[in-house]
Amino acid sequence: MAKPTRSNRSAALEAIEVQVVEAEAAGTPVEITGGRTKAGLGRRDSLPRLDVSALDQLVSYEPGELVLVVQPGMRLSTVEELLAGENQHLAFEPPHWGEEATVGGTVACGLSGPRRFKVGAARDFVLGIELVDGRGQRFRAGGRVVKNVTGYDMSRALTGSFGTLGVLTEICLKLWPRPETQATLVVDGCDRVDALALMLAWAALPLEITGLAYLPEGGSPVGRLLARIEGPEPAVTAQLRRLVEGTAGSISEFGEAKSAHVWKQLRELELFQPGADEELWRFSLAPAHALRLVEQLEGHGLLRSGLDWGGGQVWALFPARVAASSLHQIALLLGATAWRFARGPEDANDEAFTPLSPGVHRLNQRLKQAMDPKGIFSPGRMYRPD
Amino acid sequence: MQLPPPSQKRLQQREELVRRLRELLGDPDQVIHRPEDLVVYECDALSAYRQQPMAVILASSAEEVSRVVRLCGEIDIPIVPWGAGTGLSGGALPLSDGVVISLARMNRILDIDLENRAVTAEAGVTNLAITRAVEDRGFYYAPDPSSQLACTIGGNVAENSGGVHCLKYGTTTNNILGVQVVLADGEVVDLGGKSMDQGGYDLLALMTGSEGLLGIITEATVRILRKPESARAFMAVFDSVESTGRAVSDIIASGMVPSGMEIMDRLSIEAVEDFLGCGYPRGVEALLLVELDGVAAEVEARIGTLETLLRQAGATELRRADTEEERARLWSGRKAAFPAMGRVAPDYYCMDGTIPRGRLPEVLHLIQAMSKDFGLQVANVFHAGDGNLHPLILYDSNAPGELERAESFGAEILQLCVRVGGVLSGEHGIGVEKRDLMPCMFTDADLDSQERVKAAFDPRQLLNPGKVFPLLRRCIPGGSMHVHAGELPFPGLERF
Repeated sequence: MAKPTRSNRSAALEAIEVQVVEAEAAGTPVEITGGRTKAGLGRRDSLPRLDVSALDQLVSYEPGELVLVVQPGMRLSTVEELLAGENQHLAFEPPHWGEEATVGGTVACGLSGPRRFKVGAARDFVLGIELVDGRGQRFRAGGRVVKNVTGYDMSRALTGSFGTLGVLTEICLKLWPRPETQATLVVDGCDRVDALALMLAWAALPLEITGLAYLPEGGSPVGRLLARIEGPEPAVTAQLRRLVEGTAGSISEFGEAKSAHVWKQLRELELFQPGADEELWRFSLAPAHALRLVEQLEGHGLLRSGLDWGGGQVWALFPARVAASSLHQIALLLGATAWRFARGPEDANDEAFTPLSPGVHRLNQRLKQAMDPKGIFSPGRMYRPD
Repeated sequence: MQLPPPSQKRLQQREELVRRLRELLGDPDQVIHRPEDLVVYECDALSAYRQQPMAVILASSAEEVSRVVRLCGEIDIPIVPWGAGTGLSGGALPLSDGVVISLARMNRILDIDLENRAVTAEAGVTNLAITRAVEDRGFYYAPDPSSQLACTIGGNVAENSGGVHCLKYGTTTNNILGVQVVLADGEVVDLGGKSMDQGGYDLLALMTGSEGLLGIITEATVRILRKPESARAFMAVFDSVESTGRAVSDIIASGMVPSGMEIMDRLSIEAVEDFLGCGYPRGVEALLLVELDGVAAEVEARIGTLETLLRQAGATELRRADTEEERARLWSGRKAAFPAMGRVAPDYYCMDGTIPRGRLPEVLHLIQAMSKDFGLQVANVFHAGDGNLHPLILYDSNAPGELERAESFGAEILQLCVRVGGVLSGEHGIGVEKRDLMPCMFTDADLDSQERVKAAFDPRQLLNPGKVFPLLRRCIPGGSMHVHAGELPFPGLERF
């Protein structure tokens, strides 16, 4: 058998390769961009843009395989429409944060929505990638099948690398059938201690609970607990009954449309849009530690917070210019990791991500060096360059 | 199959190495070095390839692993990490000028955290021991490789092990939260933890399935799940393997995700019935085992659809296990398929490619045609749900030329898998076994990128060298799992 060769080149792809090679030769860093809806993530440098929006083609979609291959510039909304036509979806429920959101940006930022705690993160759905690295070399990793241990799992490692390791030029995603229907159990006026206890208990039940969140109710000490159940209609109804039976308080149910709406609101962070003098933070941690985190954040001026992923993800609003290093320190002590969102294009967001331990930081640098030896892809996007 | 030629300089250091290791560890019993004691470690479950290391270190802590790694770095000795030695691709095959670090003594479960649904275990804890530790509370660890009674969680992480239920629950990589690793320079780092995300690049993902080339796993934090309240198994009989393959595609396309879907062809069914008599119908071409699990109401809601789909796809007989006993009986035949095959032919050769599910009918048909061309029988028994084939090529190593024919046949099957859009290995790993086939699937640029990752973690190439990456960048058909006279390495283990 001859060695594999790949020669499928489009003009858009060639243009990107040329830009990478030129940037590499000149040693001038660039920022890889798509729809610019995730620009608030990470540190901000004003670098020339390497725009992949033109790479927006569908490469292949085989519903029977539950596999989709697209170029990174394809809009997330386009993909979701396409999949909905076949009763399939991206089960990790990626946030859009704007109409222009692309698949490439979603994968590059490794973003997952409310269903993540049940079905896995973005990286669990990336089966394979094609990439142009910092030397202008185009290569593939992974494959187009769901079970694969051939070679290092570079596809997962590239997911969430914020465009600092290479330009994604093709992405193969694992799809899931869309659940037939959904409904959400709502407990209003829920005290936060009770809420977390219920979320931990419910997450451990053998039920198809695919959303567990606790959201503030306009400045009061109590909030609204939401539990989404998905599946065939009779199974959803049966499970709702079981949850209701064991729960006290002000209980109501959202049917399919309202349920879908409330989880979309959470996914799109509609309740956590920072005001003019506020900033948004996100913490990822062991679910049982969520309240300990919130209590400590309150000591640093926390304005409003909400729990997603059954407690595993905490959204928090603070007054602008809260001491970032203190919040990262709190995160570190709880084994959590935090993101600070930039407040706008002028905000350098210097301490965007919780610092890594020295050993892990060194490994990160070595991986960056291996993929992008001259540091041309946003070298300061994640951490301050040494 | 070649390994990097042993270095005379290293071999000459043997005595000094053993002396220094014994000094380093305090307890002389932790260093195995006499040839008669090293026999146990001369191969993993790919027993066709054997060689003894200079010494085996039985480490009892990450700190000890680190000290040994530093010493090996200082005197330039390569290291092969070792869990239980149940791997099927020769990933733990020792190097004659190197040492093996066994993690088997590190077998404590360190933390059971039911609130966060996480268990932290030392690398030498067996896969099944994790489930055993939490099952009385209704939890389990989902990945279930066939060797789960013996294989270790450290080895599972290193190989990204699968099992029968990965269609729904994923492989190891989808079920771990963090690992502790000893790096090539002896540094001990924690990647991930109990949170669902880690900061920085996803190094946990790179470490998982890295086959011992990027670091030595000393501890893992895994996600545990609540046991599903209902599991129902079905058996459908078909008049051809191809139509069975089509049934699998139909079920997937219908929007159902069964927890397992396994196909057995005529040869395997007959062999299993002769071996076990578990009640599979005789004289049929193929059968499909399907299991649905989850919430009882959901499983019940899907049964009707599943049965209709199976009939529409041409099932001539349908059996549903209504009791737990019947379910276990339906699965028992599938689990006995590998040992049963040992009674049909003196030797068999097991492949492990994955293909797109929709290509199952065509590929199975081609394999049958190839079987005629090569004059060798092939039995198919495999994870149809995720397209992971395990064709077993039957041959007799005493018959002149049969081994070579079997090898050529196997190589053609794997190349066929790649040609239809599949991959070389679904769950057994590359190891030494499929190393030389890597260029059939990857271009030079693909392999370069992976080797650069290797160099970033292990610039001196001291961790498990000679594995995964081809020594030559040409597509050369290599070997696979050979079994002679039904003597499976680890005969007591179920095989899937």
